[in-house]
Amino acid sequence: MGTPDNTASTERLICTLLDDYADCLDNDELEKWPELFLESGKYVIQSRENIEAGMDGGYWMYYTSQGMMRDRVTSLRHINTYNKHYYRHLISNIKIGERDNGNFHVRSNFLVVQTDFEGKFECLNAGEYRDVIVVQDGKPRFKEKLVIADTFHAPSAIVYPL
Amino acid sequence: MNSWNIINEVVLRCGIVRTNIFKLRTELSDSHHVTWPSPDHTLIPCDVYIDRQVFEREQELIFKGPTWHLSALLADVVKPGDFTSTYIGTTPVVVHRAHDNSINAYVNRCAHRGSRVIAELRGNNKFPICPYHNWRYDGTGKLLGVAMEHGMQNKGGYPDNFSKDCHGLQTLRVETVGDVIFATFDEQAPPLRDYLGAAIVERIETICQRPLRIVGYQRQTVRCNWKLFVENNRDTYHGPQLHTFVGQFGIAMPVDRVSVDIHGAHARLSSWLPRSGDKDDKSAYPAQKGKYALEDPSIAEGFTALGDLQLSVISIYPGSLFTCIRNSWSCRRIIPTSPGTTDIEYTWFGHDNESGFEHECRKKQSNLLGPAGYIALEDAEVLAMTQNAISRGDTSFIEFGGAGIEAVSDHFNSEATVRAFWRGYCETMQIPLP
Repeated sequence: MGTPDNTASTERLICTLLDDYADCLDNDELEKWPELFLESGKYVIQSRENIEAGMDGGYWMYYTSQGMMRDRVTSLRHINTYNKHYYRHLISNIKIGERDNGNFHVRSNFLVVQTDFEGKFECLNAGEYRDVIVVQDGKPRFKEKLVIADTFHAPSAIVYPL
Repeated sequence: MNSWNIINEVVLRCGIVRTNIFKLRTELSDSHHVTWPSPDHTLIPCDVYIDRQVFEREQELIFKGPTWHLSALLADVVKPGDFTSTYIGTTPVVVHRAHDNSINAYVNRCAHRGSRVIAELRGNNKFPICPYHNWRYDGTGKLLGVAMEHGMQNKGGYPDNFSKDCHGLQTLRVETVGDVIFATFDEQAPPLRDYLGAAIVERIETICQRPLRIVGYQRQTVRCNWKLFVENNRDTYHGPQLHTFVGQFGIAMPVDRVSVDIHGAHARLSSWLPRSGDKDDKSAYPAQKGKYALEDPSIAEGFTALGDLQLSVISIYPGSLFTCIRNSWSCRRIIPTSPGTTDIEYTWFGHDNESGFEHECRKKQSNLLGPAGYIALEDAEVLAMTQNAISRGDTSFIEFGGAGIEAVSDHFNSEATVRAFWRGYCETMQIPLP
């Protein structure tokens, strides 16, 4: 770790990345979502049930490149049929853990609430983010984002990334 | 003289007690609760999607009736003591490999006061104990012991004629095809293979030609009646209309031939790639260029595990489903929870001993189906809107491909599979046709 000042600024950058992540999904700026990842970045949603059962499959989303994420955005924007909805992310308990070779291992809690096209509200999912974040040229990016869905029984379709 | 009068007459002459009169009347009115508008199943009365009485009757006549239900895979219960929890209709059921290695299914309800004896999704436990009063069972459902059977200091306890053999868990009949475990409540249900029919047995055995390995689970609520979901699974009309992901990205596979098989109320949909070595342009339905291009086409990479068979959907009446589309393989249990809500339990699987590449293909193609799936999220959305728009007295129109309910060997342009569902439904629900 660097000097206390550097640490503080890195922590600030990491928190900004988490904020940007929530903002692009909550404000329907999906196109910004893949740009928060490295080109070889990985985005995976796995259920708590599968984590506990030791399963490496049955993912809700399994993207191993920024390109796959952009394809999701193209599909949601132009191809898939779904009702309008609004997300709101609440992210808390951010824990910046060990650092190895410039990778920051960051864990946080999330709650995603969804409001549907008629204004009705539901808790869509609660869970944990396990992120590997790199800071290059003063810019933070996700190298990996593992979304662990505690709410492993999806209450309806999962359209946007969680 | 109408049937009411006949009953009243019989009742008066025979002196049947009043409670029985009430019961007879209830049964008669129940059986006529739904009026079927057409004898050929081209019109469906939408009351069956929203009516609470219909829902309760389905639990008794269909889910506890002479029907078989996909309950688990052999890979769910490998070792003695392994169990997995599910539902058949609204009834909680456990599939359990007992200490003696037998595979059993029982209702997850203590024979004493009805608490659940198993309160986990899966695990290993040779001798489940009800937490309420410590009644102890084995994995076959046999009652082994009860707390304070003889009271304390010879005070209280169960009477001398109490027999543990009479108080086991309610067990179900279990049979398997391939690696798939089915259960039924009904001793009168036909043997499983007869129930499924040759085409479905053959297909399940083909899928299970190598042992199945479970790769994951998924659960989802769809906000519609269970029958809307079952119809959707087997409806070949909506696929190209609603799910345009593979077409618009130009990654639809060329199709050489398709077929639709129907056995009773079950349906089996198949499509085959052009035979190995054939050029795309020889296929009946060549792959088309898409409007969009994938930035990362690896989602479309795959391998052949079942020869030229690239799509296999098996919809087993009432609520069991296999979808093997490319390398995205899962089976599902369709579990009604209320007239307007249905739970879906998915088990994702592949073959044992697949290569790293093959496993990676399955993981990437898990993006296609499931709650967030490119070609599945739309179903949950559209079915919720369908359920939401139903009013009493509405009908649904199912005449695509005519009124026939027969197998088709050269196209998907028919709703015959949906009509087959309703033919079976009317039979099990004892709904008279006009």
